[in-house]
Amino acid sequence: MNKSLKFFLYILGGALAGGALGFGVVWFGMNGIEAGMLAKLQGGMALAAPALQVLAILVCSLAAVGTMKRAGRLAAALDAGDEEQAEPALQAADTAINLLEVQQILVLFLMPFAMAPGGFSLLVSGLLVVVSVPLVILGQGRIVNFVRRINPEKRGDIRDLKFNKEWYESCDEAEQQKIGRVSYQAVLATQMVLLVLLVVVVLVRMVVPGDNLAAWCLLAAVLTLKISFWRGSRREEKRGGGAL
Amino acid sequence: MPLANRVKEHRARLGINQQELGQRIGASRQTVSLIERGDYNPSITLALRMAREFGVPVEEIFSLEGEETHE
Repeated sequence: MNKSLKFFLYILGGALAGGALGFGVVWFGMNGIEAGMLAKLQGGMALAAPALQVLAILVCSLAAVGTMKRAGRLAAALDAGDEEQAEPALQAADTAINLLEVQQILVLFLMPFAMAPGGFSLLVSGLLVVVSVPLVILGQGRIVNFVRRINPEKRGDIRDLKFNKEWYESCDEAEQQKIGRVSYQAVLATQMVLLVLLVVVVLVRMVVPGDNLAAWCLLAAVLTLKISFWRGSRREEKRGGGAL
Repeated sequence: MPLANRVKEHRARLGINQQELGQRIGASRQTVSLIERGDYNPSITLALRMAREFGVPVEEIFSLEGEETHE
């Protein structure tokens, strides 16, 4: 298909979807349906959030422990001289660390949903965060030590704020290239999500009374992303890497 | 064009593992493994370090797929 036509169709599709969404929220707002629905939704979420947090902690932690046991068996085979087991062992460690990150995200981001009159749900939710965060850091520390056993050249302490920087600097050319590619994909995906969220925030703001906190948060995220990208590009240019 | 290599063969000749070769040439064990599998094409610097370590010209280790390596 012609690229210009494809671009036009994307714009048209976006406009139609935006129009339908806008019409929907205005219609809901005019009929006053949203207030009751929101109250019910918030009440349900306040009760469900701590239970979901417990579920996330149990499922993710147990899955991470199981994965690390498998990684340990593979590492034992590697120690015995089977070099083919190094990659699967590292992949298992990677899966375990991702599981703990999912746990961290779920536990932290479910907490705001626990807000309800009385505050009991929020208290339980907050306690779960206090329990989960050190557990995740401890778990990630052990996984990092495991990875370092296979790749002894890796540096950095998980409890240190400079961990990511030190880890990156201890990576060789192939690993740094891989991190660069993956990070660029993450930047593109984040940009797209932020744009969609901005549209959603504007539409929701039309019917739900409140402040513009969500819009400010999105703006902060966009600015952080853009400024850090620009600064990185400038640094690369100064090093002689050419313009990005 | 994909790059063929004889890294594993030369490493076996020296009797060293991936970790040890990685340490000698300033790369990780994982990168040595990727190069051996043909999943990563090393930089010129790394290829030259490897050639120095094996004591052979770089063309003896790496060649364009389908072309013979220099003996």
